[in-house]
Amino acid sequence: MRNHELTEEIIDKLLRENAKAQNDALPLHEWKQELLRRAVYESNRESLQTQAAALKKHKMLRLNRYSLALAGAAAVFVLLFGMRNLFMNTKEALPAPAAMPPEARSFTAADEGAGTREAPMEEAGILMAPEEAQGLQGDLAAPGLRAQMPPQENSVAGGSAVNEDTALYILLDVLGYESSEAVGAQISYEENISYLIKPLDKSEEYKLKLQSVYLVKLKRDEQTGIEYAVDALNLEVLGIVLEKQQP
Amino acid sequence: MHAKTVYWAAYSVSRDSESAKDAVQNVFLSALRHTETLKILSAEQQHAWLYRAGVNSSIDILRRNKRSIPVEDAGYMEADPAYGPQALLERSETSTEVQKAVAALPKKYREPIMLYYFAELDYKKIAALLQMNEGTLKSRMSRGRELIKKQLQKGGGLYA
Repeated sequence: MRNHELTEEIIDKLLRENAKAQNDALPLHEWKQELLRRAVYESNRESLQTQAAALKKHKMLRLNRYSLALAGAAAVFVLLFGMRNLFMNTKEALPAPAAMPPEARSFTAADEGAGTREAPMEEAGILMAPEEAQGLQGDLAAPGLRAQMPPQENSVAGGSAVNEDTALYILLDVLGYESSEAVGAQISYEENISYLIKPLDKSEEYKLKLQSVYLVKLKRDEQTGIEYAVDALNLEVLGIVLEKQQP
Repeated sequence: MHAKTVYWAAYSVSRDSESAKDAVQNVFLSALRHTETLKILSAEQQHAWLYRAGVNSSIDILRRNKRSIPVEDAGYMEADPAYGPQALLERSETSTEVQKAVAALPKKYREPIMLYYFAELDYKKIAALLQMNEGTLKSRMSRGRELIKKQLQKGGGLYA
């Protein structure tokens, strides 16, 4: 590089041309576009921020209103629920006519005076007292006819749901007969019950068992001496005849 | 015009094109947010504000990036007998050698050179921006060109 050739004018020209080239390469138009875009963005952002702040304030106000309304509704509900409970408790404290026993409903002063009031089931011998029934449970636990009955018929808790066949098995079990004898003989209880039923020498005990456990009521026809097993609940005759028959 | 001033003001600090471009964006975003303030300023004051903002933004970017361009990386032109003045002129538009020589100048010479040649400002505006009289400015301009000449002729070395 020779100094006398690189004059100040040439340096000036080099600088100007270099500056021009570099300025031409500057993305001035892109900057302008970017600036405009950012300007719009900033403007929109400020606008959005303002709108968001206003919306938030509006939502808070609305939320407060909703909260107040909700709290009011909850208070009213609690008040109504409490009043309902109070009313129900008062109502339950009084005996409802429908909840009274039949004898209580049918018993009147006139009945008492006329002596026509029906005795309760315990008094009438239909139902056994709990302590008496307790002593008979052992007999039911013993293996016998009942244990061999079909499962669906091995329960007599149904009371009035006991059909005739079930009642027969019940009676046979109570009277100490094995189910095999009854089933094997293919008895028709209406025709052959008297054959199968042994004398009711323990009639009182059996009666108690029938009445307390199987909810069967015995009804004796005084003229014929025939006892009928009837449903203890509805007092309908089951059709089972317990004929006292001597062996 | 303003964009070039900001760019070269930033470049005079960072001597890095990408940082200077980032500074331009920052400055004009800042100007956008201070539009109301800038409106009450005179044209000269607005120009000075943009220039100063460009310089400050470039400094901030350098600090943020913890990056500086060492003088050695400025790429001083190696002395080459084949590089005559005509050859330099032919290559000036495509090479960065002159730019590197300018970037290697001390700041007090680099700023006036860049604002005059690259930002295309006149002496009056440059004097106002740099807060110096035109005589001092012209002296520094002349001294700067001399240093560039020496740099290009010798192809290296620091200007102390």
